[in-house]
Amino acid sequence: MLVEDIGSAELTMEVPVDSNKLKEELLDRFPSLITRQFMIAVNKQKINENVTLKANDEIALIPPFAGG
Amino acid sequence: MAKHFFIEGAIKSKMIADSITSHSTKINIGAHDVFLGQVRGDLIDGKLVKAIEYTVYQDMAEKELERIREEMIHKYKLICAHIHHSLGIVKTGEICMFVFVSSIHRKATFEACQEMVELIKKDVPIFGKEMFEDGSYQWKENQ
Repeated sequence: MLVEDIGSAELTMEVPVDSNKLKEELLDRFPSLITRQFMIAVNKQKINENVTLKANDEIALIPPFAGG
Repeated sequence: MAKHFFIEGAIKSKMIADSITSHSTKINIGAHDVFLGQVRGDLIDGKLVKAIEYTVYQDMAEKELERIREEMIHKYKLICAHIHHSLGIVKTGEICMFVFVSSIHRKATFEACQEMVELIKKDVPIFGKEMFEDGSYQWKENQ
């Protein structure tokens, strides 16, 4: 779903200072993301608030779940 | 067994039957409860869903499934618990999820099975593309 907006399944970028900044940068680069619902996971853990990011953190943009 | 969460394609009835049979040697079990998720042929804006293609954020999904499984075993004192979910294409009418819990008595199995299914739907990053008969698709979202 989000791959359709970003154009690839993986993206390497300069480390933004925190997850809010990351979201801003992504929306700048891929404006169509604004219409999508997604959550952010850092190192396979869903985050519910702003967190500081480090080099080599694995960030995932996660669309709504549909299991079951 | 616990680690084999994902299965390519639909879950076949033989696998479900074999799984039940394999518990016959665990004679402390007095009750099983099973949940089966089936792909529904929804009619959306006049178009019929013919299949769902499932994808997963695998590392995170496996971690979440293992966490849910362990939490439910501990909370309800289950003897065992198994979760299987399809990946790839599952046609309308086929089975895409199989949750199987076993305990000494029935009450724990009813409650554990229900809670486990709700947690899987809420916490596990599994994604579903609803494919329509005319070749178009839309992304499914759990209610």
